[in-house]
Order: sequence, then C-alpha cells, then structure tokens
Amino acid sequence: MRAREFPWSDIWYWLICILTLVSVWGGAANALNPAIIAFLDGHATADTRLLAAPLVLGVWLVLLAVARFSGPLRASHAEIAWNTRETPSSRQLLQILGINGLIAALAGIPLLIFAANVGWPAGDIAIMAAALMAAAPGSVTAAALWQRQGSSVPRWRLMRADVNVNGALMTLMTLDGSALRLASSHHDSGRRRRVRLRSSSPRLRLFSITARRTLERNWTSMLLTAAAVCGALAWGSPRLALGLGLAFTVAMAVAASGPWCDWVCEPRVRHGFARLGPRAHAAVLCGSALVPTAFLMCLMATLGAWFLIIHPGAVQWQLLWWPVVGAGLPLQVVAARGVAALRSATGQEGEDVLTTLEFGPIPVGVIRRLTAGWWGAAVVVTTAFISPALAAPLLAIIAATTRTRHTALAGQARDSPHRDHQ
Amino acid sequence: MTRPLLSVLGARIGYGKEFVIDGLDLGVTAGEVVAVTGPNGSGKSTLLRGLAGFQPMRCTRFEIDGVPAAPETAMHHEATYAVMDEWMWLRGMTVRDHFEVFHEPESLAMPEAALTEFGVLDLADRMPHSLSSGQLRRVSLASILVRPWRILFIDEPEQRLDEEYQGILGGVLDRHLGGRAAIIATHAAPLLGSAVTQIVHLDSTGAGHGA
Repeated sequence: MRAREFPWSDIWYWLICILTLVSVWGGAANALNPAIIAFLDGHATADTRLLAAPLVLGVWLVLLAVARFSGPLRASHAEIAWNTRETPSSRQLLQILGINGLIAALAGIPLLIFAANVGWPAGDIAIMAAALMAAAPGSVTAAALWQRQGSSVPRWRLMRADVNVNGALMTLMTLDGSALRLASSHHDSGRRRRVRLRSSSPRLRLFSITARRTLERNWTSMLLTAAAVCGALAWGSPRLALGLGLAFTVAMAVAASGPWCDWVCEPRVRHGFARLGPRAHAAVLCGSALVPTAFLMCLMATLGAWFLIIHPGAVQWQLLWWPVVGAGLPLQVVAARGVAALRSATGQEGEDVLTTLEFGPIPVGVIRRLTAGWWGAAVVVTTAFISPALAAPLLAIIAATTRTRHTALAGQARDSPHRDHQ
Repeated sequence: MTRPLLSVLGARIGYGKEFVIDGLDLGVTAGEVVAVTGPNGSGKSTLLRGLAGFQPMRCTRFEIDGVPAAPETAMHHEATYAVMDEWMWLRGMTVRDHFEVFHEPESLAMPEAALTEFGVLDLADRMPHSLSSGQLRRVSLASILVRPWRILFIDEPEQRLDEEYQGILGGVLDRHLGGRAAIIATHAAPLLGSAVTQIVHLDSTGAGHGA
C-alpha cells in the first residue's frame, strides 16, 4: 500500500493564500482614507459593527475557498492536457500563468476596490504593482525602509506604500508558491486527488463532485457577473447590482439543478447510488445548490457591507435580510425545480400528494405552497426595501397568480388519464 | 440443501391491470448465473426491472439470503445492482466521477482497472451523454466491477457489444461470482459460455420454465 505523503505543498499553498489575503485586506483597511474612518466611526454603532463582521468574514471565507479550489482545479486540467495529448511548452506556460493570474486577481480585486474608494487612480496602482513585482524583493524592502526614515513624508503616504509593498511581495510569493506547487505535482496531482477522494465517505464524494462540476460549468459566468456587479456598485447603483446578482444566481441555480432533477425523476439513476443510503438525496441537492449559494452569500455580504458604509444608520433587519436571502434562495430554486420535474415526469401535475415507488408518498402540494410562499416573501420584502409603495400590490398579484395556477393544475389532474403512473 | 441467495414466489409484474409476468417462481443460489430467455415481448426485461425495483412487482415472497427484502428496502439496495439497457447516469458528472462515487472497499476492482478491463479507460473523463451507445454499454458493464453487489441483473448484454467483450463479461462473471449470483436476460445464452448455470425460458404468456 502506498504511504500517505505529507502534504507540504498543501500547507505551503494554504499559508500563501492566507498571508496574501491578510496582507492585502489588512493593508488596504489600514490605508483607508482617515476621512472615511472618521465618517464610519461617527455613524456606526456597536450593533452595526457586530453585523458587519460576519458579512466580511463570509467574503473572506468564500475568497479563501475559491483560492483553495483554483489550484487543484487548474492542476487537474493541466494534468489532463499533458497526459493525453502533445502540448506545446507555450501552452504549459499559459496554464501556469493562468493559476498565477487567478490568484493575483483574487488578491488584487479587494485592493483595487478599496483603492478606488480612497481616490487612487487604478492605472497608477497597476503600474506600481508591476514595477514592484519586477524589482528584487530586497530592493523593494530597502526602498520601503528608506521611505520610513524620511520624517517629512506624511504617515498616510507611508501606509499606502506599505500596502503596495506588502501586496506586491505577497503576490510575488503567491506566484512562486503556486508555480512550485503545479510544477512539483502536475504529473500525479489527479492521482493523488483521487486517492484522497477515495478515503472520504461516498456521500461526501457525491456532494463534492456535484459541487465541483457545478463550479466548473459556471465559473466563467460567475466572474463576468461579479465584474458586472462590481461595476454597478462602482457606478453607484446598488439596486442594479442587486438585480443583476439575483437574476444571475437564480439562472445559475436553475442550470445547476440538472443533477438533482435527474436524481429525483430517474429511479435507474438512483439505483446505482442506492448503497449510499437516503442521505445521498441531501448530498446531491446540497451539492447542486452549494456554488450558487456561495456566490449569492458573497454577493449579499458585499452589498451588506456596501450598505453599511453608505447608510451607517440603516435599520438592522435590512442587513440581516441579505444573508437570509442568500442562504435560502438557490436551495429553494433547485428543490423547486426537482419537484416540478418529478410532477412532470410522473404525469401527476396538480396532485397534492405524489406517490412514487422508492420515495413513497411525497407531499408536493405542501412543498409547492411553501416554495411559492418563500418566493413571494423574498420578492415582496426585497421590493419593500427598494420601493415600499410597490410591495402591497405585488403581494396581491403573487397571491392571485399562485391561487389561479393551483386551481388550473388541480383541474388538469382531475381530467388526467395517467393517474396511476409510477 | 443450499439456501437460495434470492428467492421469489408468485411474481406478478405488468403495466396497469395487465401482467406480463404472472406467477413466476425463481430461486437462485450463490455462484449461479441464470439466463432468462424467451421471444420478444415475453417479459425478460420486465422481469429484471421488477426484480431491480424499477417497476412495481407483486409477489408472495421476496427474500435475499432468507430475509424478506422487498425492492424498496435498504437490504435490497445494498445487495442488488442492475445494468439495464436504459439511462443510468447523472447529468454533469463524468464516467470517472460516477465510478469514484460507486467505489467502496468491497468493490471487485479499482475504477481504473474496471475501465481498463472493458477497454474504456480513455473515456473516463468524458460525460456519459457524449459516448456512443456501444461505448456506454461497455462503461455500464465496467461499473459492475466497481459498484458492489451480491445479486446482479443484466439486460441483454449482447446488445451493442462485440464478441470480444461478451467473452470478457463471461470471464468477469466466472472470476468474481463466488458468493454472488447474476440474472441475465438474453437472446443468446450460449454467448456467455460456461458461466450460465440455469436457464429460465419465458414463453409469450409470461410463464417461466426451468432448463
């Protein structure tokens, strides 16, 4: 049996990720314009700070998770490319650069956002960072030390210099670390990952594989949407940002519900996984919903923090609402798609209790009403936040539509000739 | 007398009020390969679907190892595996993904070895829907080496499978049957060679005759 390898490269990778993010975020926060800090201090309360902390922590955790994910993911692609067909060296270089670029972007985006807040020109920052990365670390450190000795330089300028130096150094280390990791493990990273995967429980494997494939299918769209949302925020329209983010997340959850719909509708598909027990249902459902949920949580946390800065005196329930929506919406969409697919597949649309061979009776009517209620509540409360005058008529329209739809389906079910299917 | 691994009495399987299989008795002991034969429409696939739990089945007794184990029970899920001529893959997951989840310490082979046995290792990172029907058939048969089972149902393995791989399937059953049993619906029992130990012939009325 093969001895378990000590995961030095994993530890190094983690360390670099954490150091980079801590350095960039900490440096950026440190360099915040004193006027903004004074403004926040003057308007924030202990409660709003308490609420802001988990939101910021959520952003951190998602960034860390994505950074952790990106290495093995890219290494896996590299392994497939290198092992199965001839690959020119320029392509290998591009793949290594791809990892580095992704990590540098993850570390750099928060810095750029904060820099834009304090009025730095983004172009200057990019040129400075590139120049610092090109220089030897020793000379950069010496330059920073030399700057500190000059008593005529204002303190805030030194802080900004710190941000650049720290950010550049940590980015440099990250690039080295990730390149080393890839170079040392590309030839067997897939095999090592599979060995690690097989040591976990089958249900965890099902969950993680479902989530990983969803991320692979959606990460390009997620990056584009994140850029659009950041653009909308920078442009000064949080409502547009919220609308974009919600619309994309719902679309992504609908797309991600494919495995769950297959799972619910096809006894033959479930049969292969039957030894995993009933909790395998939850593994597929949660695995399908994880990526859209993480994306929406990140978006909601960003918007929550944004509102905290723009409206420090805002009512607290509004801040609480965003993570609640973020936590529940994608799961709700995926589950509802599964119920709809099952009702359609069994020809029992409109029935309140759907009888299946394996699951037994399923109270789809109750699930559907809860789904409709949740959706209605989410839409109405979100609308109330944006425009209270629209909330009441919207509630009435949703209630009437839901009632009409249910009545029509019930009528169809009474007339349906397929009531004994499955 | 050896206790049957699978024992079914009075099986009735059908569609609506019409039964394709009506009153079939079946007993399979460990180490046996049962070939279910019969003309088109005699209910071979229907019988396997009922035994696997894909279709409602009524019977007076359904036991695995002498213990009641109707198709919706955990024991049935634990003990049986069916490779039917139907879609059995999750959308968005590669062949390797499926095999990685199926794999357990009790598996007969590692995922790579199973795929290699049926000559489909190079398809491991493809999505099942992108495979041809013949490739998918070989992948399905390779899964019997990874997904643990004690009673195996295979529906017409000769379909879309050339003679080389039919021989490989026969060899796999020969090597790994041990305390297990397989029930195979087929039009060509001789192709499975010496592996077949019992033949159940279904006539057009759905009645079974041992041979």
